[in-house]
Amino acid sequence: MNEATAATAAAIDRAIVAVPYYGFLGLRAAVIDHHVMVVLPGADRHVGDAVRRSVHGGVLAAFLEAAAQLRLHVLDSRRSVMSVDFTSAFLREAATTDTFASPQLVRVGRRFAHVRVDAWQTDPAHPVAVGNGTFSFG
Amino acid sequence: MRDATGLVLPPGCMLDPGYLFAVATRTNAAHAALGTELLGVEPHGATIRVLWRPDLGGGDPGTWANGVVSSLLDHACSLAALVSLGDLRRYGGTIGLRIDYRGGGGAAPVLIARAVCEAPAGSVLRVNGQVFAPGASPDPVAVGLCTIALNPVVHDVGAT
Repeated sequence: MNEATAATAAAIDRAIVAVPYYGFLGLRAAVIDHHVMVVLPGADRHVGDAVRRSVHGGVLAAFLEAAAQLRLHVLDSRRSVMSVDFTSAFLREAATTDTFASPQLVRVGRRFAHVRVDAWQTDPAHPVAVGNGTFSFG
Repeated sequence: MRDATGLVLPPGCMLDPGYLFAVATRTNAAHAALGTELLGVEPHGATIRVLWRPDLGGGDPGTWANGVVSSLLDHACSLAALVSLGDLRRYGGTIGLRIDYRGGGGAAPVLIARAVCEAPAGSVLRVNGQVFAPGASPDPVAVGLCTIALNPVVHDVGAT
């Protein structure tokens, strides 16, 4: 791990620790090939449908938005980031296994940023949910 | 509301009140973990709340994480859809959720989410939700629009 990657990973870890709810979700993050990857671990407490054992849509929406916020925090940890809006599309049932998210910066301006997030479980080409959000910088 | 006693469902809703209460508070493990409470239902609507705990917090002391707001909105909208449809067979699951943050809230001891359905439109049901933090701000914390997929109407075979 080079110096820049280590610094990015450390910044994400600090950001996760700073928000107690991220700990409640059990979020983890890694930096792979300069890309931020956020992980929602499979856990019984994330289940929404007791019969199908699928992850609750609200948890997936929270995860997508958290991943976007973490990506922006890595970009500039000195500025606070506030959500303006966030849209989630639930594409497939998400099983109670690890879910991965790769936030992509679509546009970063002086005051606002737009981030797109795909979340998948077994294949990035078949996401279980996707999100788009607008954020403002404090 | 501590149990389904006194939970009166709107006319035409064929759901069992005990089932709806359980879905709202217990069998949905994500909301059992949040400690979600069902405050009541209305024709085409539902209202739930969550009490603040340190592990649900945002970055600043006493504040809520956005994820709790998302989860509350999603759940309130799903419950409203169940009440409005009154028939589990028609509920096909949530396919989309849009949230607009309105700035109300901040540090607050409770979040309340109320959701009310629009009329079904083709194969989807749209549900409008609002999240408030009573005592912290008169403005909503967030408003949302949830899109629910509808299953085709089931006609009982053999009815004469």
